[in-house]
Amino acid sequence: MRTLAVLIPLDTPQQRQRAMGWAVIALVAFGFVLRLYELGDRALHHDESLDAWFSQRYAEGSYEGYDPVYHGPLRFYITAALYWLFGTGVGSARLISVVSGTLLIGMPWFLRKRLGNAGVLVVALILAISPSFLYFSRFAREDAFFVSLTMVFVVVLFAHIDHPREATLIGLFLALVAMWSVKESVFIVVLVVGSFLLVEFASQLWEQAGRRPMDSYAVVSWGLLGVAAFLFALRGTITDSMVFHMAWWGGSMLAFVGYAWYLTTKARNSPGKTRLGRSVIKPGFDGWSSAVAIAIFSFMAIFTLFFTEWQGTNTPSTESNSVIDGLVGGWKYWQSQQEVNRGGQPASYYLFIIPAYEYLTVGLALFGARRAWVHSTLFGRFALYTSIISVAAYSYAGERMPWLIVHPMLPLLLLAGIGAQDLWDHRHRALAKGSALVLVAALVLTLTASFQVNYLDPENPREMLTQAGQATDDLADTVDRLYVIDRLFQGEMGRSPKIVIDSSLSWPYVFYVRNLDNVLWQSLDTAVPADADIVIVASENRQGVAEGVPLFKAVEQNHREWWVAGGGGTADYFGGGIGGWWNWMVNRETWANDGGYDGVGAVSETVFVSPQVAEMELRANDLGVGG
Amino acid sequence: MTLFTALFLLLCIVVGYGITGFASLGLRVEERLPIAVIVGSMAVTLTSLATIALVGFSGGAVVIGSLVALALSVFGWRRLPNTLWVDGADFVHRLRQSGSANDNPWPLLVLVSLCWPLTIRIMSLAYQTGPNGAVQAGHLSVYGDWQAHLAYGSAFAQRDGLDLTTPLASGEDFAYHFGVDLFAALTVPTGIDMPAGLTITTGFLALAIPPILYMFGARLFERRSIAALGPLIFLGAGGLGFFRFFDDVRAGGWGVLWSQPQDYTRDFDTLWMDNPVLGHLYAQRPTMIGFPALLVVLTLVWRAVDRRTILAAGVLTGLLPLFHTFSWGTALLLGSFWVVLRRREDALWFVVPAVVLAAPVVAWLIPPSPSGTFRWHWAWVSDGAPWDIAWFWLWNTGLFPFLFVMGLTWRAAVRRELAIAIAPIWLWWVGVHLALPHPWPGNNAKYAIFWWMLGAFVVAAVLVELVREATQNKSATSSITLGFVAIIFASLIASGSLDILAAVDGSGGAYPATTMSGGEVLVGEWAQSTADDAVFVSTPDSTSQPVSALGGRQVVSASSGWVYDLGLNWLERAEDSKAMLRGDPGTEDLVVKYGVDFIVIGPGELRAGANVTYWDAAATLVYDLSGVRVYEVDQERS
Repeated sequence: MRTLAVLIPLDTPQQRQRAMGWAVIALVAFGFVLRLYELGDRALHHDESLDAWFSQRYAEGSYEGYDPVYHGPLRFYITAALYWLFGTGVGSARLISVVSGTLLIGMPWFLRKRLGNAGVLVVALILAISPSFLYFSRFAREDAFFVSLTMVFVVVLFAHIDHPREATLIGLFLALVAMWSVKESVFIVVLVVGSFLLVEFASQLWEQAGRRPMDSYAVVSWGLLGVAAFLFALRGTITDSMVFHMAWWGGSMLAFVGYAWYLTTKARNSPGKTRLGRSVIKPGFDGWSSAVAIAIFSFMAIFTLFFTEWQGTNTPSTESNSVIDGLVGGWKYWQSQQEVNRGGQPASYYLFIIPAYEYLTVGLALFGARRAWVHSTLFGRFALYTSIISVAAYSYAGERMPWLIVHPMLPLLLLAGIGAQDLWDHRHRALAKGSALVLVAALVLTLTASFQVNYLDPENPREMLTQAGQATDDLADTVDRLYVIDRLFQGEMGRSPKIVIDSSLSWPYVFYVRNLDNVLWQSLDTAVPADADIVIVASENRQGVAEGVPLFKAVEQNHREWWVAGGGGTADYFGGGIGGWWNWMVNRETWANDGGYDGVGAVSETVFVSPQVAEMELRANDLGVGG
Repeated sequence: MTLFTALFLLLCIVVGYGITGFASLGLRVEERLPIAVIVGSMAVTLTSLATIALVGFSGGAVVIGSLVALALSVFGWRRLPNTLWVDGADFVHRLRQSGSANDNPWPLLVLVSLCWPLTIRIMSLAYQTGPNGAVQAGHLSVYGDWQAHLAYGSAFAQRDGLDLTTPLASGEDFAYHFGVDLFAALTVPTGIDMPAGLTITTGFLALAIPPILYMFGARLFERRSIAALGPLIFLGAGGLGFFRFFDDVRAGGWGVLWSQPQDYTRDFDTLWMDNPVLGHLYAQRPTMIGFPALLVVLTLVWRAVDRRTILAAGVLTGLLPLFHTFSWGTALLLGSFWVVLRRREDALWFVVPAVVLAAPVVAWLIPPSPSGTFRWHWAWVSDGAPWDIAWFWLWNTGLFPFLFVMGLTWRAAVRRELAIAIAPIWLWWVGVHLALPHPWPGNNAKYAIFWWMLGAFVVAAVLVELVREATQNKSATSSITLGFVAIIFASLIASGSLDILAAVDGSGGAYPATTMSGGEVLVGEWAQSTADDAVFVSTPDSTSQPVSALGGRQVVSASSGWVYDLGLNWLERAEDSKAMLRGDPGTEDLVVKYGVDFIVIGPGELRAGANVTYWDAAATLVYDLSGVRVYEVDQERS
């Protein structure tokens, strides 16, 4: 340590801050490398291939506009730009997640006054190496991008609360528009952060009215949580439940704010003198009108494909026009999906999957919760409140998927940062020393888990971060094989081989084979084209195809694999008991058979190649060329 | 790009950053970093060349070479005046200053935010995988020149030992400033193939060029506006070819902007200078190190305050011939003049290393029969009358020469000492009117480009001064002057910008075009498994040369144009190659004469009249796949 102290002087706050700056830069660089390493190697997930394909469509000018089934369009634009820069491919499709996931690592720096040096470093470290953040920062869905925008929103929000200016207000609105243009989770963010601000504002008004400060806040927040829990229990029993619940929740908070406002004015104090009131008033009419105008302009630009498409996509949830659809289409669609429960996971899903991978964060967040409760600060209250409400909101929302865990994880991370700083501040206490040992062990285990799921076997269906849409390694190998065959075939035959793919296996093949000339998509429950050179068929049609092309050489493999804890597609996280969890944690052994091969569920496929193709492959293999 | 490739490039920057410490000039972080890219790449290439000479080409040799360079750079790191943190903090601090503050680097950020995306885009299009696994070129630069560079790089990467015979003409010395291609080859052990190595290293070096151009402008002209405008005038340069664009618009509407029917800076009939980005930097890869290194040398000499900096400039110049001989010559001549002009007492500290270090390489690079290629010739490719010469330069470079002269004589634009220093670059311009040093006259542009590059800053100074005077005077003619300047600026960069736009468009025109079919790529891969010194015969009529480009093996004659340009017996080799492919009488003698081991017969060779029946009988078929056959020749039987 002494040698280290000589190398890195830490005597003054400036020196410590400088060292921390370097450490954050190093973590950002390290995180960037982790995200880029073998980026294109994992086979595309079904959803990734869709995102990659929509981006390609936008690049080619055939993207039609916002359809909430596939979320907001902003990332398609950016990924199309990345295709333009780096070429179209799996790596480029994942690049937006890589870049946003990397930038996210550095963002705690901007909260250093609130998190403290130790807090910033720990949050940045977890963001860099956490299994879930790393996994979904290398995943071509919108979640890493959205979470980064959420973090930007949080950073700018606190900058605005500290020093309300027109610039920060515009920044807030732009972040909101960007989030709105990426994913419908913006409604949850607005709900969570908005409700916090209302509660906080009510609390400040209460204090302004001369009442005791903290108690009121606790009463309000717990009261509202109680309302939420009550409504949560009534889930599904009330018609149009989401709207109803939101109205209840929001209305009750607004009522309280109104009451506190009344008390403040009655005490002849101005609500504008509260901290949040000042942040609303200070930018003035000019500031607000500029921010709103810029937000409207940006929103319209994004949802109208930069003022080129006003009609909208005319789906059941986007029936108006591009702008109105952008505003309400997402809400309409996801409200209609609330009862569908895609993914088949229980409401308690995140209570299992988050600790299963993110025990380090959860552990530190517990310390952070204690600190936030005992030493109440605005940021601490924010982190505590949003952590609880986010987990509740995502648990309540009908679709529960592995990639969504990074959303409720974000406030938990802020809480973890507060916890880390608390432990550092009290590092001489026995409890802190003991906890540190446990946390170091948790860090090692986190690194191991992260390495395993991100690099060692990222398609492993037994990992809870992988999902049913994950294609197998065999599929990726088949794609490589198709390109080699195409190259051989063209040279020998002067044409591309005719490849017929069962339409039920379209994704992710559609994106993968985009550069092949002669691909036919067809339901193979009927006859196979007589001139086919390669046929890829789903298991249910295998027999028929095998009879149609008796001389073809066949290889059977899995197209997608999954494991839903509990087996048979029904999640049961208690099914394995403690022993089942232990075996899963240590060996990734499943506690229930999900059907198919080796206890995991699968969609299988068979690749048939003609004798001519097989002979060419053999010859190339003998010559040692063509991979 | 693999992680190891990225680490390798990062290491080059670390090495280069340390090396900047050898010069005591107080450089800023935004100056050190791009210089680090260039000098770091040079250092790692040179030390790796030494280790390859000792232990052969392998990943281990590259690692050892890189570590040696890193160790050498430590001495420079120790001499750096500030830590990276301090330099970085200083950059941020200056960025936060008022935009009008002379230290604020925002114009540099604007410049790179314009240039870098275009660079990355061009590089992403350089080599593409086409249908059927073909390798496609995104631009003429790649279709033509890069195939030769690919062969140079593969000659290192795909041979075990250091074998300095050119892959383009069996048995001949390399005799080419191959440094930048060796640098590309060094990335192959990091897990990428040679085309990717060529692309990535070109992009890596190209990103450093705009900031170095900016630094040169800022350090010599001491105005950010000139520093930012000069690179734009140089990189976007072209003549008046854009007038043809208006004809194209009349014929095809504004849609031709995205599908341009022709180049506007080059036709090798009346337009010979080409756009610097596309014709000189992109196509001529050695310039990627040569040009920025030259600018660094000149900056060091100009701003030197002590002997150490002069020595650093001299050493950098002395190491240049292996990377770009033309830049070495320019750095030596102009640098010597400048050092005499400004620090006469230290002149030898520049000249001696610049000559002594370079001498062996330059001697080795001299073509086998220089007297056979060099010839005196008046007026380059114009008809020779003064009016023809004037018209040629007006057509090829627009108002540039006039503005250049104006700048050198207008004290308000360029101060006297600087004008005197830059004026000798006109000798390069005069030189191209007096001689043709290379077989192809178009190569004279490789000399004139230096005149264009340095002159761009003088022209920028003229435009900036015109704007300054117009905005200060606020007279009735101010607006007219400003409009006039805008038109001049647009005319200077219009043709070049159009060609760059076509290069980044990637969907119009003739490109992407196939350089090697899928079958040819496979035979190129297979050639890597043959003996390092194996000699192949392939068609000399095509730039598709997979055996040399991907396999790194020698061919009797690669594309005739390349062999011709090297000053070799191109015609004889081409005819002999074709005769062997056809199985003409005397083929056996030619096989022995050139030591041929393999005959390649693919689509290109069949077009050249290759006789499959003959070779079926005369040699052993060892490869037959995807439309390409390779026969192994028994030389004793021949």
